Amino acid sequence: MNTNRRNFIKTTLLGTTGLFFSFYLGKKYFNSLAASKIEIPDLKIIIISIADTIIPTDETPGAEESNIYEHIKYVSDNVLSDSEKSKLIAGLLEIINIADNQFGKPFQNCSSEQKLTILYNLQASSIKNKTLNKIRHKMFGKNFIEIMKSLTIECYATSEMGCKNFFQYDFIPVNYQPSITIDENHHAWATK
Amino acid sequence: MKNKFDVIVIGSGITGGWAAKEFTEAGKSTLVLERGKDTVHGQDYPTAMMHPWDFKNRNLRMDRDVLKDIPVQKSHCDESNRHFFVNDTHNPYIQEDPFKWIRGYQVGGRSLTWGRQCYRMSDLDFEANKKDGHGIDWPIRYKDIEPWYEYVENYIGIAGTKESLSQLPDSKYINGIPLNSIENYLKNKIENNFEHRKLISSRMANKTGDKNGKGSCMFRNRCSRGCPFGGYFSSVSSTLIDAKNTGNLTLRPNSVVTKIIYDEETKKAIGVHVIDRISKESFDFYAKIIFLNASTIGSAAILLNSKSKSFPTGLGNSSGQLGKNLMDHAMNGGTKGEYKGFKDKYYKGRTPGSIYIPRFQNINNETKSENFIRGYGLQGKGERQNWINKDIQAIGKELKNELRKPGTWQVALIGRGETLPQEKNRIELAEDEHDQWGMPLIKIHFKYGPNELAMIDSMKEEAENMLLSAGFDNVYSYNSTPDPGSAVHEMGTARMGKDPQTSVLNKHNQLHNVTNIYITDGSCMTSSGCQNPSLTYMALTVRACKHALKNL
Repeated sequence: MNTNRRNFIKTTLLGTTGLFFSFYLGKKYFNSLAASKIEIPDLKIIIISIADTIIPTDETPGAEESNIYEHIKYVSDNVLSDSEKSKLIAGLLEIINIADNQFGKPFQNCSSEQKLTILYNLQASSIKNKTLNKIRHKMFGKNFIEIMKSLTIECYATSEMGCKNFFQYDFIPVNYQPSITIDENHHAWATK
Repeated sequence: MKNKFDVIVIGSGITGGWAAKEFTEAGKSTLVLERGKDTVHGQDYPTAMMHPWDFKNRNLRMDRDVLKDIPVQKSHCDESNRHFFVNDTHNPYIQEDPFKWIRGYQVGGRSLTWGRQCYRMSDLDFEANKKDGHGIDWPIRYKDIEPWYEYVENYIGIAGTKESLSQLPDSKYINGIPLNSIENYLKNKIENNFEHRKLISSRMANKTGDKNGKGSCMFRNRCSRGCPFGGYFSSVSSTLIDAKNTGNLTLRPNSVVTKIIYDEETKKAIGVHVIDRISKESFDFYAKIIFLNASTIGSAAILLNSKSKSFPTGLGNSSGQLGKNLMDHAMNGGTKGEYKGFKDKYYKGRTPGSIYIPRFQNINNETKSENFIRGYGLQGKGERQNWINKDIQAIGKELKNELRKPGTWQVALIGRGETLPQEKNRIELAEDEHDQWGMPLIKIHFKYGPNELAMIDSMKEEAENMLLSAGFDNVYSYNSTPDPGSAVHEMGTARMGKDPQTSVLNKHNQLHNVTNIYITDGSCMTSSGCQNPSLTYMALTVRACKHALKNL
């Protein structure tokens, strides 16, 4: 990342425009402007921090260990459309703003509870009705939090660590048992 | 390389492989021409042993740069089997109406990626055209093909269970693939709640036990990548290996056949004209017998491009029917439902099979539909949701807990219905647009008629009825109808018939007018039935080979 770009982010995100961001439309406007200049590598820390909030470390590893940043970088570079990529970057910037506005510090420095609060609030702001969601998806695609959640989950679930240590993974089953009895602690198969 | 053979087989897919096997094992020198790249069993399955994390996109999607070259194929392939589907940009065709032409240009063709479901047709199908007046009568009946169904089944191995259904005659089976908890539950409910309906385990060309020493299914459900264990039937893993072992096979990949060479004096085909796919050099090869197995659309295109003084509109096209009567099975968008029970039940292993609800309408007077003639079957699968289709609102540890649990049971059903033969559904060759090998581009015209549309409505309605009556929740159907061609069961462009004035092929699959050319791929079908058709193509191929061998 070059110095100018770093300065731009620092100045823009934490600087003098804080009040401006409290206005929703203004914030959107800012994000679209900022997103046009900022790239995914500039946001590595926030990506990992959000993903590790979505899937945190407990008795099993969290999303960071599934190489989430590399996955999102690849998808962003090779799969997402320009508008999806802008939406992703704008959403990441929005979280930076929210953390700063609400808790006065970068997202990655927030407590687990604070991070969860930010993500839950963001999720709650999208439409919850299933039918309306379908219409929204059809017209506008997934929103930021849906994109971030699905990329985090898929990366985790298809990683070697996720398949082998979190789910059950059977590379060559050899036989098919159509009905086995399981208890409530049984883990799902990683693959279909 | 020599250029004279007893037999030339054009195409190395599911029927071309059978022709190669039959002729080479009978001691005939046989040239198999394949327009695509070579594929060697086991060796050329680059993704077969890859894990999810080995794929750049985790086998969940494909790169933008890849997708731009496969606008048609992309709905039928993924990151793991993409290499077995054509590049649409390099292999263009013209859709006069939306029609997905799904293709695999390699040795083995689409037999590497086929759905593997195998069902016999019955006299309900062979007599249908004659009874209701759509299309023309088949020149054969079930008894004519029955021994050849058995011949093929004994070789390839069909996992299935005896059901004694008149509309879906039993095959010769190896061990069937058992149903799981939800599938068994749905089976009992449907068979108790609805007369004349059954839910059966699909009949699959997966080897649930070693078959002819060629391996067995490992229940990985990774078939379309090519199976290094030889767990399912493809021409690459089976028939072509047998053919090669005879020493009588010459296999030439990268060979684009553009024309069949016709001799006006003898009134016979004498050979084929080939352009090398890579070098673009031209070659002619000669044989006494030619088997055309280049797929329904490909075979008809070769004939249409083989013009001569005697056949100015295409070889064997005296009837004017060549390229017409294109059919594909009509499909609906599908129906899904969830079932809250059986939380303590799961499965181990990944079945390559599915469930099948055979045609239950217009079987007899009691099952007559007021809305359409012929019928459809419903195919589907029951399984527990996993991370990929769970909609979890939670974030954090709660999300992890939910992700890790086996999800709700879910059943999906999708219909495949008979399409009536219609002349207006056809292929033709463009006059002024050519591909890179000089072949005129193929134009496809295809529209469903009112019968297919009524059937598509019924698929949705009946699938919903069956799931709701079985106590499923959240039952919903996709309203969009897949484009024609999506079933990848195209057929009918050189139909069999008794009368040379109305059909292209006779009852032995020979061109009426040029009897040393046989066509035994989907082109030959006089009607489509609603069953997956590959087993019928294979049986007709063997039957035609035996006929041809009598004259060689």
